[in-house]
Amino acid sequence: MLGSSSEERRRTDAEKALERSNAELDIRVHQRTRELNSAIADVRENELRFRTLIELAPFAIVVIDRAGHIRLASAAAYRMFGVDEGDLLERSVDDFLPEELGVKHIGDFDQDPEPRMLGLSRPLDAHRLDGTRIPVEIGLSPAYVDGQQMIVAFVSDISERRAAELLAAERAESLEQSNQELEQFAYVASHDLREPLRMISSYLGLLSRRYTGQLDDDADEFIHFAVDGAARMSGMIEDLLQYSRIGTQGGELHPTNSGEALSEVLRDLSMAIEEGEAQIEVGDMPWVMADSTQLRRLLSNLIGNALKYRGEAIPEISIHSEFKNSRWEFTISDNGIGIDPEFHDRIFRIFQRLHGRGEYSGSGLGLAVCRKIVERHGGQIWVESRPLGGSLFVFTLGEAQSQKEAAKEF
Amino acid sequence: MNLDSMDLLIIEDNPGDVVLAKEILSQVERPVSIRVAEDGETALSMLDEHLPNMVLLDLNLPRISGQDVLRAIRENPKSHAGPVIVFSTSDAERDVVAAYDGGANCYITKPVDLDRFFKVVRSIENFWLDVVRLPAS
Repeated sequence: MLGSSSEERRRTDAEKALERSNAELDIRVHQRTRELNSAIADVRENELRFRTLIELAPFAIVVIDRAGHIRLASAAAYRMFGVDEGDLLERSVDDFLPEELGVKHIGDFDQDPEPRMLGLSRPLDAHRLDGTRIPVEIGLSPAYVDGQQMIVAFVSDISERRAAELLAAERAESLEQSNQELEQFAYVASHDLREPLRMISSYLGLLSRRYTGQLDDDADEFIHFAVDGAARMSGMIEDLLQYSRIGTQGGELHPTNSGEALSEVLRDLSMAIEEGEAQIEVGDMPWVMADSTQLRRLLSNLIGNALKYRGEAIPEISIHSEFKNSRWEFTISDNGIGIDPEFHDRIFRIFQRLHGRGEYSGSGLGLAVCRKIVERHGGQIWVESRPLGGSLFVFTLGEAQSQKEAAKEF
Repeated sequence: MNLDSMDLLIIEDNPGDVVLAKEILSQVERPVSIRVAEDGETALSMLDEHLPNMVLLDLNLPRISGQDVLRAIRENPKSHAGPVIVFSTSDAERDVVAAYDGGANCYITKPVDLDRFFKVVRSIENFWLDVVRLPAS
């Protein structure tokens, strides 16, 4: 009896234990299910985030396996290549890229699996299945997907940028062409105009030589005006020819010692400087990138003007330079008659004169030549009025490359 | 002083230039004989008939260019040493170089100024007729 009752108790205990463990199992199953559901939800959420990220990216994203097959592609990729999802997946990259950047390129990428950009240094066109082309830039990056090494490609359609670049290049080219045509025109015009002008001035010369004093006073005066006009026109044509040559016959830009150029110019102008008892003050002069002949011409025209348009006082002219905004800025200031700010732009135009012929000689080309020289050197030129009278001419030039190299070593 | 006479062939198609040259040469202080050819063919046949002691050559001629006339003069043993003065409107470097390469003795840009023209002619005649020794023809 005793035995049976203890047997029964043991069974009861066992049943209870079983019930308990069933219940625990139940709880654990529930818990696991909950965890699993939450994990699945997390995964879905992550995937959703990932998808959203991929779909919202402004570029197409394509995942490629090592054999060059497309395994995943974003909606932007379908849109860019104008295909349905099914048409893109499992296709080879060779269907969309030039051969050397397709499957063949994957081997290169494997050897050096670093992120890189394609289409930066030279234009890259992807093709659609219908054969049309899309200018693209492609970023490549290694990635593990499903435990396999794959390549993620970020493809940007740069049609608009390429079109804008093309337009800008076309405009620059047509501007360049029209400038060249203008220079050519100026050259031909001045060259061919000289021939008939020579006839006019020679025969006027002959008339005046032979008949001056034989006709009445009016006739002598008429001949004088005609001779004078022909001489002036001849000067202008010569100037125009020289102006057109700045662009067509200018030399290359080399590192040039502007101090040396300035010394030569001051030597050439020494007569005028002595005559006017002018005082010249010169600061430190740098090396610049320039065509030395044109640099001398520029300095000579500006300093010559400062001497020519002097006021009552003894001319004081100073020439300085300063390195500003990564360019050399030259200033030439004088205490002369100055220029009304109203004319500050006009004086740089061709054949513009502010003074009567009786006051100052010249064809009005000097500053136009200066501007053309400075612009050919990639610089700018302008004039400012000085508070106490006089003018301040400023022009900029690029620093000499060799000097820049030397400066880097410090 | 007994000056050698100037026997000149002007090869020039612009009548204005011819009259001007004649006018200026009329004031030269030596006997001057001037003949004029208005184009290259005429010039070459005139040279064949009579050899002048100086040729004034314009480059811009109809049909046969001044450059070709110059070459023909230099290739002819009779005229290869005589002074040929290229007298041109052009001051283009390539024209100057081509003229000297072709055997021109000097290259002068036609002066715009009449006084300069006189001076130029005076130096030409002095140099070529009184200074330089040329083979006797």
